[in-house]
Amino acid sequence: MKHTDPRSIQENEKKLVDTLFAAVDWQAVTQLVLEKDLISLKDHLDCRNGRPEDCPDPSACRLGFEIRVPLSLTVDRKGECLDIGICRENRSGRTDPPEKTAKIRERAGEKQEQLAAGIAAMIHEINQS
Amino acid sequence: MGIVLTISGPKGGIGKSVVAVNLAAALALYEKKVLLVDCDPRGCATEWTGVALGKAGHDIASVLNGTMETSEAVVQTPLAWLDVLPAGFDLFVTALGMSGDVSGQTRLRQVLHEDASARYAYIIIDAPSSWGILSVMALTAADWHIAPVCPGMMTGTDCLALLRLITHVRKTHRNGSKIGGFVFNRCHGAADSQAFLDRQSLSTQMADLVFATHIPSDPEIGTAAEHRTPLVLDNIKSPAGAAFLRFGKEIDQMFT
Repeated sequence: MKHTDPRSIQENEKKLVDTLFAAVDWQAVTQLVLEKDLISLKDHLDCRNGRPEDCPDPSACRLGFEIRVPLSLTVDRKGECLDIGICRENRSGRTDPPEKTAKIRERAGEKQEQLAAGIAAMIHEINQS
Repeated sequence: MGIVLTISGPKGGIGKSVVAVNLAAALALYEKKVLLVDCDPRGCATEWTGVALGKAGHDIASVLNGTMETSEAVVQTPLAWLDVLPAGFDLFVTALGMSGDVSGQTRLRQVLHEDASARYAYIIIDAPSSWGILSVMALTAADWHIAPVCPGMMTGTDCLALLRLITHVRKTHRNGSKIGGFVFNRCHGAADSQAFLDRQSLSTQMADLVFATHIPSDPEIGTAAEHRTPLVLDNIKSPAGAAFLRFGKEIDQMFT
């Protein structure tokens, strides 16, 4: 038994999302993406434009690129970021669920820690012996 | 006895020759007698210092194959305190001939210590980035390793690769060389290098070994290379020129 019109809920949800999109501080999001090192060179790169650069070397040219990644941002009612992440597509073209992405990130973190430990051990071995 | 510093790194384009040439010139400006050894057949350091390979046989290949003494092969530069042991394509041919001989790996160390070390305060080797006998030779000759780190081009994996190579050389030839430090190239200060170390989770491991001097990106580096003059001589007031001068002082204070 329905107590209210589901279309009204869906429409208002959409309005809320549209309002949030319009109010997103893109500069802050970009900063967060860079700080968290979420973009890799595997991400889709689009050529945007190119123009000769005004400098003494005539072969110089400034090229613009657009990096496209499926980004998910979760915000609370105060507008604070709760989570930000990249939902990467797997080989079948489907986007991995956030839990899987988190696991991949966790594994990458572990690998990086192992690498850092290896470097520490070698530096110690070289400089202390 | 002079100190042998090998400027080494696991890949091309990270600034090994830039650091080698300009560190050598900076130390020479502080009136330290310096020998810059070009150990790369591409001859970047040779070309940059304005040394012409005109006189046949006056190069590192002749020293390694035993046809010439180091003292005969070195070429003086316009800067009185800086000499160069140049390299060219002959070095590649000589290295090919030596590649099957393990004793060849210590040949550069042997000739530099026997024939050059007493006459120079610093011997700076510009190592090639390939993992061949020339890299091994350059690392084996080192008392200390100076590794440029270029944040835009390198990751922790590259640092580990270099450390593995150094460890291999130390174990094989027992040369007792140590890591002098990591110099950040194309990097605009401590905040940038710290951000790189944090991203790679290497702050604890490497921070103590990062030199205070950071070499910034600077178009004047390219201009100096075109002029075949080290940047510290071509434009000492440029951002990178001033940084290399500071780096020379930092290195000299470290070893004196």
